Amino acid sequence: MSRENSSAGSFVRLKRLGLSAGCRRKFLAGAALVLTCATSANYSWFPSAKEPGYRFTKSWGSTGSAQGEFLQPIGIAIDDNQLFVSDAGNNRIQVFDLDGNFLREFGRKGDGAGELGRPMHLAARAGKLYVAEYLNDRVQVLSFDGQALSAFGASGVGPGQFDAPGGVALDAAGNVYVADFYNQRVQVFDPEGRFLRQHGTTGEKGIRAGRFNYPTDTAVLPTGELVVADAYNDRIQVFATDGTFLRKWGGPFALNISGHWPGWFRTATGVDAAPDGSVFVADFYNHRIQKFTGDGEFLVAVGTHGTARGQFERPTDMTVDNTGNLYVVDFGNDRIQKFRPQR
Amino acid sequence: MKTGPYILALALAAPATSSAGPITTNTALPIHDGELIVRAQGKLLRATGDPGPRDRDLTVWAVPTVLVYGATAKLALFSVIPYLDKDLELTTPEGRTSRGDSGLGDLRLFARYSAAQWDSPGETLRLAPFIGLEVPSGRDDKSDAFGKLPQPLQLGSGSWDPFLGLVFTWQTLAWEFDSSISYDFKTEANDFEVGDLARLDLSFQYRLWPRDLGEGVPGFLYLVAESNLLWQDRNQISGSSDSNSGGTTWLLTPGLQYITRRFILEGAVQLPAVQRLGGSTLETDLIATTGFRVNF
Repeated sequence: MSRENSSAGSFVRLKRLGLSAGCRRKFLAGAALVLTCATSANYSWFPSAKEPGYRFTKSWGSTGSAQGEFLQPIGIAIDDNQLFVSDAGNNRIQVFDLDGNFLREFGRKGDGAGELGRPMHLAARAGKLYVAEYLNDRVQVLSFDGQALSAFGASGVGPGQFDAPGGVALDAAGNVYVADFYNQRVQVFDPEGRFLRQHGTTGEKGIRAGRFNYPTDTAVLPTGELVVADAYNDRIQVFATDGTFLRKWGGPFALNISGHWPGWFRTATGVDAAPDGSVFVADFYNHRIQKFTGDGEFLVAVGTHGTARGQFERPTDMTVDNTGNLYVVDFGNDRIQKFRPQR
Repeated sequence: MKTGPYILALALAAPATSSAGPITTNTALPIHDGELIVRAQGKLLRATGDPGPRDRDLTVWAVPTVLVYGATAKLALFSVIPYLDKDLELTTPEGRTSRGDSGLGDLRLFARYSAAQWDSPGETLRLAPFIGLEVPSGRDDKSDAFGKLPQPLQLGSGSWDPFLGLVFTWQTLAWEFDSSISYDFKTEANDFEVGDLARLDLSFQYRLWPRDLGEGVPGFLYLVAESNLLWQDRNQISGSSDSNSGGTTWLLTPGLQYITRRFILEGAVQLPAVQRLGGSTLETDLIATTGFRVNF
């Protein structure tokens, strides 16, 4: 059938549906636009891998509360060749070397200085560990051996207040970006914890650019751009250093359309920016990690659903060391898995 | 975890405990001296429509089992023990998460005394006060990875809670009307005090079949229409009033009962007509009830 005949046939079928000629033309024009978008090279909805991928190296941890065991680990951060893991269900931070050897732990349940209330995602730099506390509605700054240095935030919806902070990230100047989960916003603080600005509208979910549907985690690219895991919109959003929205990705038009195809998400719960500017996303209900360029081009996916080596049960976060090794928080399997990039 | 209380989840553990017609409330009709009645109900409560950001969905299954013993012609003793399965689903950074517990709830013990009666051919009116105590037999310290469950999600209150009330019944050959008013005095436990609960229940049962009474009829089918008006005070957490609790609920309940000499089968759906609840308290979608009673 020729293209003209096909279009004419579609036109006639739409006519049988009772659509006016104007509606039929608009419908066909829209369908053509969608098909063009879906198949164009730059905005492919079904991209293929552009990197060799990652090979499983090792894993550690099991369910429990002893040293090296986890109960719902959620966040991970790396600095000074140490891995910091938020062991949320045990209300503590565990520290490992890059081979998974246990080094130390700190924190216990509570809301006092040095105590933790369900620690979430982490950020680590220059001897300071930033911990978002889901139950305590604050971000606490600890030394790498667990000494309380400072804290900011309180329960509420006002500037500088939180309703279950989920993720935290630092830029080069030391500004702090906090995903304020139930308040549907990302708040920005200066290095002393003073409120600067926010992204999103407090308490209002949204699907338009710059709005959020339960933001869960943040990361900062080497360029200074802010990357937000807009979890229940199944997408990633990127903002300029002045707060201007730049781009988003995740499924068709990044409009809360979930799926299992490469580049699509089913609840993006964690995000991390690698030193080379690539972006890793914990694709929670797809049980995998996806890697993108900073512009949102899909590079490769890591992992499948399961309990075997290299498989995940709802991963929540990941981080990358200086040699490109990938460390993944395997939330549902209560373990950490390490991968090295294939060359 | 910040979760509101669930006014009717607690009320689920207190089923109707009579040998007569009401499904969701009580009756003043007497139990024969030495008679034992076993009654079991299955109840499902759904509460959704969270006004807050957590998108909470509450599902409670309750199977209260009632033993009624006629101590004398006027005094009846009741015990009610519910099996509960409470499940609260909510949005978290780790996806939709379930919290809850299942097992036996708090035991309610009470006595009802037939204080007054007026009888005439084919008709009786009864008035009976009752008084009792809710015993903290249910587990009240369940924790999960988020910490200790909010008190309304626990199976038991941990507190010893007295209650009292008055029930009136007017029964004829074709219909029965019951009215009950009661008040539960809640006490503090675990630094938490559930708000006091007052309720006014009305029940009307009308015989649909057979239309005419005669010999050899194996059973009777009744149409049941009930009304439950509940008011609950705000909860107290560490001595402070919780604005996300308490309120007024009015439920309307259509139902059917099939009654024989030895057993009763029944079913009803409680539908909210009015819900004026505090703060982010979840609103009830419905409470479905099925049950049976056996007389020994």
